[in-house]
Amino acid sequence: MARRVVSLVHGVSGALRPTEPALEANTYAIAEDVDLTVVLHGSAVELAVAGGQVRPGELAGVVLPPASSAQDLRGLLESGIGVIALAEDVTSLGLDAADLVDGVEVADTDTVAGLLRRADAVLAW
Amino acid sequence: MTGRTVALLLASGVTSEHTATALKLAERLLARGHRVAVFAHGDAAGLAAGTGELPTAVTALLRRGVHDGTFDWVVDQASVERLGVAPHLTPGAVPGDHADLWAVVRHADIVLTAGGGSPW
Repeated sequence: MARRVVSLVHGVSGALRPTEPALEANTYAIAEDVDLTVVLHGSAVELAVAGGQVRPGELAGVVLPPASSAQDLRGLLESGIGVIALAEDVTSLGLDAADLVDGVEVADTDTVAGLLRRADAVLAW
Repeated sequence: MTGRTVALLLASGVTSEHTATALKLAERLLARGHRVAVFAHGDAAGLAAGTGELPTAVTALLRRGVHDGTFDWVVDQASVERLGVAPHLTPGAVPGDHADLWAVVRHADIVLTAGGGSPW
C-alpha cells in the first residue's frame, strides 16, 4: 500500500485557470492516508514565488479569472503537505528562499534524490 | 511479484509511446494475475472514448477483468468534459475525479506514471 508519496511537478500548465491544475490535483491527497511531498522543479518553481498572482482581466468581453499559485501552495502547506523547490532551479530563475512562500523548503538534488528513494510511490506531473 | 495491485496514471493521449507502452504493460500484468487500476486524466481521458483501435483495446482489457475484478479504468470527469468525449466513453470506464486518483495511489502496491509532465 502506497504511503510515502512524492509528486514531481515539472512545469506550469500555461493555461489561464483560477488554480494550477497540478496543485489542485495534489490537494485531494489530504483525503487519503498518504504522506505527500510536492517537489517543484523546472519552471514549476515559479509557482512558489510569494505574492505571485495573475490579476483578473478581460479578453474580447470574456472575464479572465485571477489566479494565485502562492495561495494554492499555502493551502497545501496548511494541510500538512510538504513542498520543496529544487535549489538549482530556484537559482537559475534568479530567486532565493526569501522570495518563496513561507514553508516552502529549498533542497538540493541529493536531498530530493534521497526523498525519491524512500518514497513508496512517485507521481510525475 | 505475486498478486500485486499496480496503479497506472496516464496523462498523454493516443500519440504517446509512453501510453502505448503502459497499456501493453497493463495487459502483461493482467495475464500474470496482477490487478491493474488505471487513472486517466488530461488527454488520456480520451483513450477510452470513441470507436478507434485504442478504445476497443481498452474495452477488451475491461472485459478480461470483469469476472475477477482485476482491471479498473477510472477517468477524470473534468478532463472528459474538456475533451467533449463524455457521450463516447466505453462501457466500464468509470468517471471520477482526482480524489479517485489518490485512492488508487493509496491502495496500490506499485504506482507508475506514464510519461509524466502536466496532463493539462
